[in-house]
Amino acid sequence: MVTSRAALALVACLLSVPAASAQTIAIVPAPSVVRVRATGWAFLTAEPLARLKEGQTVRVELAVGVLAAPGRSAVTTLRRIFSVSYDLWEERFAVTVAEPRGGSASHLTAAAAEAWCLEQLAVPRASLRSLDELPGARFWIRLECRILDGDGALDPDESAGLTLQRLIDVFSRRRKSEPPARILEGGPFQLPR
Amino acid sequence: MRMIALLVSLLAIGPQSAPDQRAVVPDGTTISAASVSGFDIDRLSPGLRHDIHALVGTPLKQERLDQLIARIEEERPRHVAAVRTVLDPDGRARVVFMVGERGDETARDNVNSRYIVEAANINGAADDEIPKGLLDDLHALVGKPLDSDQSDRLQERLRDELPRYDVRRRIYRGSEQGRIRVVFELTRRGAPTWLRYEPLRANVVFHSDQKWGSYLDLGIGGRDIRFTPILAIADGDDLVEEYTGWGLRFETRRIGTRRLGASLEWTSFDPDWRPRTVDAVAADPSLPSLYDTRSTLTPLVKFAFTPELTIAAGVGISELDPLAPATSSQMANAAIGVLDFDKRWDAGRAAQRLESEFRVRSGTRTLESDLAYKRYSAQASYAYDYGHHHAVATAMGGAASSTAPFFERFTLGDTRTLRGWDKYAIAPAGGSRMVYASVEYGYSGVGVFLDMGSVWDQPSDRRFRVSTGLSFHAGPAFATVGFPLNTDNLTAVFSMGLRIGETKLRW
Repeated sequence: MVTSRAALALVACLLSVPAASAQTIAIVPAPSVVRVRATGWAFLTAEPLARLKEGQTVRVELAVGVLAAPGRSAVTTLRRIFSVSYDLWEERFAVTVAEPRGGSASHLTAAAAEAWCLEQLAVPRASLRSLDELPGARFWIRLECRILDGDGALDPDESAGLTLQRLIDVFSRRRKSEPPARILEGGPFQLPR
Repeated sequence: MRMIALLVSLLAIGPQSAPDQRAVVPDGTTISAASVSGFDIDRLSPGLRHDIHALVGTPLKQERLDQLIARIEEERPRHVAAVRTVLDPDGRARVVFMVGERGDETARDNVNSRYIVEAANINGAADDEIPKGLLDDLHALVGKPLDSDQSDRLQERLRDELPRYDVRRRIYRGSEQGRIRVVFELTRRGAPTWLRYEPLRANVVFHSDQKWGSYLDLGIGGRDIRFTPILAIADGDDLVEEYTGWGLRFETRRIGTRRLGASLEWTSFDPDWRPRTVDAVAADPSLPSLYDTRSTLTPLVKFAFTPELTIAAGVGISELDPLAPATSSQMANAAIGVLDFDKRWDAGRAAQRLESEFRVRSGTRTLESDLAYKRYSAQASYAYDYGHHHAVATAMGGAASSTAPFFERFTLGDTRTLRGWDKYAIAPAGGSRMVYASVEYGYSGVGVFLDMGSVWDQPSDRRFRVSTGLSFHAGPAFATVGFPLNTDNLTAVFSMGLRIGETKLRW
């Protein structure tokens, strides 16, 4: 009986592993840059996706951070804002980098649009030179995604004084106007010499 | 492209036809004005607007201007921005951010902009609620490719014109390929609250003469119901007594209707009396007696005539334990009436708030009170904010019977009133009469104030005291240095701490 329970627990653990590891980060080194790939890390889902399908533009801020150790602050960070929209007739996504000379792509599936955004955040190898001094020159990658909705105004009556919600916001270091970020970390990675 | 060309040509024509503005206005020149041309600044985020306005008065730094340009283009990807700096004859610089629409088709941030709008409608509101000009502009969208900027502007105008509605824009496929329909969907918002909760006033303060004290109230609840645990630790900022204890308040601001609400507060505080107060009481037998634990139950019913004007009525039942063990406790039970007016006006960068209150407390034998007394107080505060400029004017006055218990007596000279004086030096036992006025002007986090007031007991002479000083604010943190003016003993009074409540009213 005990054995069968243990077996069941083991099966449950094994089944849960793919779910837990469904989101993974990989790197693709190129001569001058390091590209980042994220499997299973979708951000065009749920409420942003609903807004896109209503014909609205959704602005997404993506950041790729290079860390010397997991959970540490980034050695270097690349951050860009993308304007994503959904073609109502062709049922495909279009993305524009929100910069003066930023590129754009269209006729993309949701996954392809997400991958295209990450493609625009290739980390220059020059910015990773400081990592060479670390033992084994290993590094980790942190991806951050924030759906930008503009500034949320507080109801003046609710914002006055010390309230439990305010304390939660303070201790979670969250500003009311700042949308929560989705974060994924992966590593260690090592660049070929 | 035409707009970009325009921007380039504008930048090329400098004040002295200089080819490079950076050469004309050197870094370090004081900026006298900062504006945005070619684009409605109110459509930028509040943070960016603030940072643009914050340039005024600072030394010009091209790197900072470049960062602001990048942020404008980041927020408005269909626009291109440039900056022009102009040297005025007085040696200061004007900064103008010129924003134009990008002509590049590929830079469109919504792929549906290439489709023709076949219909534009507003759903959820009666036609007569919508201004005609707005309807005309809505119909002007039809027959042309979708103009996201124009649609954004219409959405913002709808929000301004119909503040009772939430506005959501949806785009649907049209009747044929390449056509779309734009629909603004309006949803009536839940009715706004009319009654306000009791203002929270959590603080931890230090006064150079009165030392540390703290009053912490934490609001827990939602739109209609709130519980507020209260903890006071050596709080001496409001009353003659310095009290420590705790309490709990329950409030509802909707009993069947949003006009009717109620609250019930229970507190138990142990006062600590300063030696000066004890000496004053010993020297003047007409003053009320000191007490030990003060327990109070305060049920109130509130009614809102309008969202701004409310009235509250109830009773305050206080039991005052005696300091001397052999004597019995006293009841100070009072009927309470409060008339409250609170209104805010917001217009662009300017915000105004007027708070005022008239309060009557009447201790009466019919409520089984051992102390019969009356206490009247009136206070008003007007605050005007414009960008970094803040101005506050406050006035208070009050009168109480000489038999009123100590917690009903008035004081001045703490971290909020007569900053520059110590209340135990002015009136160690407080007073039964009080008048007070204060004006404060601040720019960004630094302010200057002038306080004047008097607290006294009849029939003794009334003496006005005046103080001035500087105040510093950073979020909830504050510090003030106050100086008494009409005295021979010019000693600075310093106070600092954290104050989280936003009401300017005191009691």
